[in-house]
Amino acid sequence: MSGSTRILVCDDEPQILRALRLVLGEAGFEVVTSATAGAALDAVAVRPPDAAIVDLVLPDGDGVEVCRQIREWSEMPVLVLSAVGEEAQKVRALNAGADDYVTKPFATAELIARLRAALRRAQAKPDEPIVVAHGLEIDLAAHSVRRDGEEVHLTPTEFQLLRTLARERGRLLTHATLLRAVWGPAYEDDTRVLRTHIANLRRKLEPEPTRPRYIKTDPGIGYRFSA
Amino acid sequence: MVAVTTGLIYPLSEATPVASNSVLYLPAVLLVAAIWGLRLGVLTAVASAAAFNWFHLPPTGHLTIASAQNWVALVIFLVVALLASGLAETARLRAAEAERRRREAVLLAALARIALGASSLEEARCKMGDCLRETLHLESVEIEPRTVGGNVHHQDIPIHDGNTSVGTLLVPRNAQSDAIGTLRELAPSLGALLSTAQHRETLEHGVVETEALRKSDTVKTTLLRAVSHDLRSPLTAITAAAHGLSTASPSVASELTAVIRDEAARLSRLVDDLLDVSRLEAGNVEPRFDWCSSEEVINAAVEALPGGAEEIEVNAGDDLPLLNADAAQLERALFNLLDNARRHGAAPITVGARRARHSLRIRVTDRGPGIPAEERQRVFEPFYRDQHPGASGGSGLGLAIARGLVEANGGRLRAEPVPGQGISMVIELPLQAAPRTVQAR
Repeated sequence: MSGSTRILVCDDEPQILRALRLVLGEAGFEVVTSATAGAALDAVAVRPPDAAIVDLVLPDGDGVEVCRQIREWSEMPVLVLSAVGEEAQKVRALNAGADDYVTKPFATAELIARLRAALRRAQAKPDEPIVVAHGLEIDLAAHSVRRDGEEVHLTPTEFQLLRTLARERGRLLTHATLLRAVWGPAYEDDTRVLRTHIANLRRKLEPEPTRPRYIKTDPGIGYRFSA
Repeated sequence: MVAVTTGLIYPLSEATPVASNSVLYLPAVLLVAAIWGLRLGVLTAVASAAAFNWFHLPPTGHLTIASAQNWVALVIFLVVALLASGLAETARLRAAEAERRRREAVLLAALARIALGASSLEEARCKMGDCLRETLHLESVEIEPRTVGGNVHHQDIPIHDGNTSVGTLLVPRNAQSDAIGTLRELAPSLGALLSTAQHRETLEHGVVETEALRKSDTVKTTLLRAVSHDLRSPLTAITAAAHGLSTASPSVASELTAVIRDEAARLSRLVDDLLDVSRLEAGNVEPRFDWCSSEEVINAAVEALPGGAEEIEVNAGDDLPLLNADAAQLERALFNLLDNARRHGAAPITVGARRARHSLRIRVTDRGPGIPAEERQRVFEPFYRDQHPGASGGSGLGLAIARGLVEANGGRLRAEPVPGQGISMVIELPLQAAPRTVQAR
């Protein structure tokens, strides 16, 4: 399948473009590159790729803006590249519709894994009725959760939070995204209520709550349901 | 006074010529003028003349005068009495003026002491206002740093030093007019004092800034020297390995690739650390404060450690209060502490969080050789290096960054010895009252 998968890579560093072209090509992807935000948006408009990898800092603008404009008309997976300590930017990009981020300098294996996961999510059927992960079984339709075959009782809010995470399995969801989805737009900034429910969910689901296996934390950014 | 004098003169009138008795009224006139002023002095002079006329000049008991000689005596007496009371008035005014000047001088001296002794301009203004208020018995005296207008309750007295305005005095409108007069008269001296205090404060700030610059300059020099050395060694390894790759056998090639990967990772870590240090140095680390759980921060830091973290024991209760801090920065600080414990300490390494009265303590403990008491502050300096043989690998910046990040989040980081053996790195973060949250549905 990846033989025909086209990836747009947008970064202003020619060395990074060169390396990514080689590595992604080797992994079986077809690579299109652009060095500016404008060129990337043009390339996307002319012939939409299957996914895009966008650097957050571009000479003619902001990677966040590129994410937002792509999201206006396309659901293609978008990964952003960022540097250490740019959490605020990462959150902005994710809230603007990016699927995930990779911190520079990155191991190519990790980049490819994240890219494949994002592509898989994009191709998956919109609503799997049952999500299964490491002994955890979530029946989205029946509102029931089993761990190792045993029924776990969740409150309606806890279930809704778990469902939001599990539906986008592997995808990093920001605090604001989760709060909006579960509690509504008015509660977008109320991270405390989110923390409390995540802690409760972990207590009920995780075999070892101090080393969570199902719900992973990206400090200062958000949570993801383990892939 | 006139009556007493008249009484005193009566017995004397038998012995002395009538005209000379008039002299005896003069002390009374002088006394009255010196104490109560010119107006009463003149009144006393006229009354004395009348009394003298009535009681002593023949025909006594009438305001008429028989002899022309006595007319002259009376007129001369009146002129002398008026002149004397005028002189006494002048003396009285001079004395009062001298007293006022003395009080002002004492007040100014007190103000000068305050202006020169205060540790800040703000404090000087405050205390000078208090001093004026007490000395002049006013309800309130405020010294505003800017030019402000008066209002319904307060009247404004501008303070200038030369032509530049250095502030405004605000006093109640119902204050006594001589207190306001004194303040107006003091205003120029007050201006000079305030502007001196201002100059001094500016100079002191300059000194502090220069000191900070000098320190940061030293840090930068050390940094540059250490960096050029630390950057070179991984670069050398990478260059050598990359050159070897093209001719190497497959097994050697995979080893060379590993060298390149590891050294590049080291280089990348060093560059990240340098960026962090320079951001901290420049005060550019702005935490994104949000509610976060210490448990999550600890778990994320432990998981981020390369090569698994099985040997690290985590003791974080799940009933700990939430922190208001930048989770990502705390995670990086904690990661550095854990990484440092793994490099220089020995197992078992534990990390745990505990609630103190107004704070939360996150403690990373290892059972390594520990840190001697005299080094416990220095380990937090950039490029401090463990002198133990075999200690290796870090950028020498990890602890400095950890402390900088913790402090940026309002906390403190210190090294504490562990009874027996080892060292604890303790992050102490203040707990804040949590805002009311929405009711969970």
